[in-house]
Amino acid sequence: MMMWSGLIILVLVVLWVANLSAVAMLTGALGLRRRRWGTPGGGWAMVSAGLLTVAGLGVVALYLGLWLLAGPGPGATEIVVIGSFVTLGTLWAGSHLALAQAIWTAWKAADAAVATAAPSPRFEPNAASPGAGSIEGDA
Amino acid sequence: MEPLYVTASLAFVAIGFAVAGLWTVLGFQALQRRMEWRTEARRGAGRVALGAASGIAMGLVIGCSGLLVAADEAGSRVNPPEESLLFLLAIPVGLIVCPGLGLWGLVESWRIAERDPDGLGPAFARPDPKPDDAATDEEIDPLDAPFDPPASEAGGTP
Repeated sequence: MMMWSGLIILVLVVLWVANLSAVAMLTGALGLRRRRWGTPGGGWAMVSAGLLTVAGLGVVALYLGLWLLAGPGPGATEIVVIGSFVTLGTLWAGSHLALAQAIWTAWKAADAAVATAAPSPRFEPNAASPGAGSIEGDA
Repeated sequence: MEPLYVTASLAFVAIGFAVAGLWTVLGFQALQRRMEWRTEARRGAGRVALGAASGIAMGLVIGCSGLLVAADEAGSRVNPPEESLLFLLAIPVGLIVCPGLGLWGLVESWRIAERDPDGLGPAFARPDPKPDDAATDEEIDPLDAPFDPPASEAGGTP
């Protein structure tokens, strides 16, 4: 009984990590690719995805290690396990913070785009210099 | 009485409440953007607000659970009713919904920032058609083309 519930939880966690990190990393990667100097907030989205992946995979690895190696019952390295969980939880909170940074940066860029809406955009070869068009706070 | 468990629980109290506070700030800002109906820039803010609501619930449940565990480990008698365990459902729901809706709103803001209303790609600025066909030395990758340069040379910095 205990084993099956553990297995189900493990599968759910693996699915969650795979799904969400794939979505986040694809989103961030697309955002980074679509503009020469990166979509505003794309870097923060990548940071968020990376932290989320590390936290999720760390939880899975820790769970696997506990389940397969240590087995049930208190282990000798209790403080290491608990410290790892706390560290991974901190990384997870950090991924939320990075996502918030991405959203803030994207909001700023959207405001700038709406404020400076040009009716007919024209291509200027020299407009792609690093200074032109870059939004403050690009990541 | 296990000091180690108490400390770990308090760490998760801090983590949960930090996430809840972060999404509270972000949720109020998103609601404020949502109310600014004049501008096009409000699109996607409602999604962020909904995701923030889920994130707040998740963070509060994590923090309060940590508090209960810490109190239990410290020796208090904690006997919550069984039905209160249903609050724990906010954690898996929030794990999926909160970043998911946040990312969705983020992409929506990207589309506004990039003049990409349909999501099929930014509205690329095309170079002027050259009078002769010999001027193809500078091949422009559409993904690398700067799109929608601001009319002024201000650079779009607010």
